[in-house]
Amino acid sequence: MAKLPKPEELFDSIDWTPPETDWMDTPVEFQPGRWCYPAKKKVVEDLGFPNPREWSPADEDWKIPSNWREIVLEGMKERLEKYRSFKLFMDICVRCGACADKCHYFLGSGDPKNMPVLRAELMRSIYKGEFTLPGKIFGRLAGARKLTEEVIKEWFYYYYQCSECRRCSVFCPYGIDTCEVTMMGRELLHLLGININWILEPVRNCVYIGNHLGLQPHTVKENIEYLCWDIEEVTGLKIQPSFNRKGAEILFVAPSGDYFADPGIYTFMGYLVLFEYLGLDYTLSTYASEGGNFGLFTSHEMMQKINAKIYHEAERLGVKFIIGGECGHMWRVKHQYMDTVNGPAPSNLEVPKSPITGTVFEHAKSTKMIHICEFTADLIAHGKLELDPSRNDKYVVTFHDSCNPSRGMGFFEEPRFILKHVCNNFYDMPENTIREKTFCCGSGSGLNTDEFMDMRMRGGLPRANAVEYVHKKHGVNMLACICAIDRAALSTLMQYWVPEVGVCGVHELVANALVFPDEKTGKKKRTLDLRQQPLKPEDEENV
Amino acid sequence: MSLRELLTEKRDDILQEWYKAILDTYPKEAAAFLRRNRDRFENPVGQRILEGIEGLLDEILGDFDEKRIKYFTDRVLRVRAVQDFNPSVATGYILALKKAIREVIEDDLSPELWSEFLDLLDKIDEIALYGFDIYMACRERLYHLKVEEWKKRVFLLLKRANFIFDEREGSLPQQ
Ligand code: SF4
Ligand code: SF4
Repeated sequence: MAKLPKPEELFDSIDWTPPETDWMDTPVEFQPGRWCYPAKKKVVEDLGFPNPREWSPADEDWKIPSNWREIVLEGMKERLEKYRSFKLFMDICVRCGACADKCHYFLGSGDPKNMPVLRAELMRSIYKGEFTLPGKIFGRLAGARKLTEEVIKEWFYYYYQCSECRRCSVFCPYGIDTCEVTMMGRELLHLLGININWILEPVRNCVYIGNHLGLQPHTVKENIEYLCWDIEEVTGLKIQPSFNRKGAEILFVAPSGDYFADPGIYTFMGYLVLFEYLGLDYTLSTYASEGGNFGLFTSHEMMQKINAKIYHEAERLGVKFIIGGECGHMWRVKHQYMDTVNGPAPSNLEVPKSPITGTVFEHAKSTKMIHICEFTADLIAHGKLELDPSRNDKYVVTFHDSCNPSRGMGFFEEPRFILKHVCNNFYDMPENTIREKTFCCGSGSGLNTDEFMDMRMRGGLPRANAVEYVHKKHGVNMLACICAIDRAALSTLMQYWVPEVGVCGVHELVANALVFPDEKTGKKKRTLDLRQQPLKPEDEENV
Repeated sequence: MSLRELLTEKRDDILQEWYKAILDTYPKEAAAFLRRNRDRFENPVGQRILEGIEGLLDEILGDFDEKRIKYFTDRVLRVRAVQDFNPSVATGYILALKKAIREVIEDDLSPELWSEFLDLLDKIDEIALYGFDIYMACRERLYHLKVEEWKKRVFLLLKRANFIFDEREGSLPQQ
């Protein structure tokens, strides 16, 4: 650890109150690597969103409608009335600064407007200047300003430099959630046709086809069958999952990244191996073929529309309940919004009850949908899985709490419980970087695009830094997570900051450790892991 | 007293000056934070910079081990390579050490120390050159990662189409 400079010399008066005025005079500079490409005209048209056109944030003229001021102020007024939290967050901040240094983008970039308090202030100052009397009278003195085109540009820049991770809200004494301010900012920008392609194109594909990449039903099916061949190579099992099968007990929905992206596919193989082990009566859907929901990063209405297909499909197929895969923001939607925006659940659905252990998942009484980690943790707790954790001995594992499952639904223990049973070497990262204080991967809320690489690497530094610590201290070489965006984004992040560490999903490790009856009797022997690499490289028998 | 002894004696002051010069390249709110928070997990940028410059100065005063010098330079530049800096400003923190040293030892720099002083400046230049390499390697890595990420993103589609040279296939037993 660095010892310098001496603290007593440095604790000169530091004022944590954000600057009252001068940030308003700092115009935003659009530097490459710090903003995402705008949505394509066709995509905006397809979605029926306002103002489809060719434009670029790098242009002087953003081609927004001439009555843009009215549109935004009207939109703001509507939302202030509709969402009490938004109104509250605009009114109650006391500028204590507790949140100021809690955002990973601020920590990595040093840009003051990435301090949550200032990010919210970009909106609050307009609220004050346009909607409150003191703001109208005292202007800047009251921290108020008028809405200009410059402000719109600034909103675009900074509301797409917030990953909606909610870390700041954990530290705010009033519970102000800057993430929700960002959500409002993005909704208002949509009214003018200001948005990013990385979010809207997947949204379009979800709406028209069913998943982010726009894979057609036959491609979804073929991809998954291909994974089954790989599973056969490793385990000898011939798995034939069913698709769109009516009358199955369970509908399983995973983020689509799990059946085409690396390393997500190994997690998907993990789910399939587990279900085969249990002989579970489940089906996959080529229509509800996406657990992810970029509608969450677009607008409440869009989130609702995209999520509806899961209940539609559960109803059409007549299943009893739904299991969802390892996805981050998907679970924020299920946990916080599904019940109110898409509920009540179709009447054929029942309170989820594990067919193996008989456990009734009361907390999902209303949504009828449970997380696969809850399901698996329950199996392990009841001793229903024969596990050989030594099969994962080449890994020293740590766990990244993805923002949404951790802060969005308080999901801390289940994945850790599973990991501790399926591998022998598990070490948590330092306390102030995990669980509810976890650091974002830097690529959340639809910002995991390559043109945003610099910001992603900066924003991900606090996370990577903690991983590096356990890598050096305990030899950690595998970062497990339960989020498809993380599996992709953390891989890149690790490659930049700590290249010795790989990334995997929890169920990849579960499947590696799972001992099938034939393997137990010695009739079959498992020598490869799901990545088709030797389980124990040093073991001669593996070669 | 040799220059090395003098610098060793004033090590802390030099580091202080040097750190200050680096913080000046950040917005003032950020500089205040980097300075204030001493937690290596909550303030990774500040702590990496401190680790990097302290390590470098100790190498300059000590063994001048190439491997360790590169490591400490990397600690700082890997961060600055993704921040809002031009290449010159990002790497310029190394040359800022010259000024920091001059400021601290100016009054004690007698003529008999000059030749040692010139050697010292050469050493700092040498580190700056390593710095350019490291900065470039970081930037190149980012571009490389952009491509890799795209391949990973649609990995299975590429694999099914036989478009991937996947070295992991090598671990498969012969068909
Ligand atoms: S929600 Fe996350 S990314 Fe957004 S301001 Fe808060 S800490 Fe930063
Ligand atoms: S912690 Fe809460 S009250 Fe304090 S500045 Fe941040 S948002 Fe405002």
